[in-house]
Amino acid sequence: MEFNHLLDDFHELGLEVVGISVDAAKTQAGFAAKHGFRFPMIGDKERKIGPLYGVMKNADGTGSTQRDTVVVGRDGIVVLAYEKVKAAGHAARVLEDVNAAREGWPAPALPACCRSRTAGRGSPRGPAGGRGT
Amino acid sequence: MIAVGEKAPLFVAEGTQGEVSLGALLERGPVVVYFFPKANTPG
Repeated sequence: MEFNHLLDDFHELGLEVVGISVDAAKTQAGFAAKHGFRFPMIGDKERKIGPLYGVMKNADGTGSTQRDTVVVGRDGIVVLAYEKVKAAGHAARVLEDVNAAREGWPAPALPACCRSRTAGRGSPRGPAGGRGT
Repeated sequence: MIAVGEKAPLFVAEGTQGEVSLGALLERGPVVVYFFPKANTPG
């Protein structure tokens, strides 16, 4: 779990990290203990949270959660979103993007802030999601 | 999937370190919420 390795960096920027999967709470507690995860994780076995964010593997809300990440600003608005990512390097990428975007936080006009702040670097997917080539 | 600019649905759930409330966390700062498929997988 790369988020655990970079947790201090996220905390330094004032961000908390929460991990969510559809595992049973007990399974996840074992997982967290085994690896020493220092941030809270939620076993959303009943799939109450995943569907709210549209991150379930199946359209009908069943299956597991995809490997998706959102960064939520203090005003409760999603400022960064990543869909179907690969685990390797992902947390570092999120950290990098947070660093680039956070100057404008918690400005209400986030899209404007993020457009200018992330100019010239790899931007996360916008509202339209990734477009196929 | 939820998109940039949308309001993140608030949730309260029992986590590995006790109750997790997105609303409460947001009062302290921005929050990274990451979903992953299964315990004991990379990520």
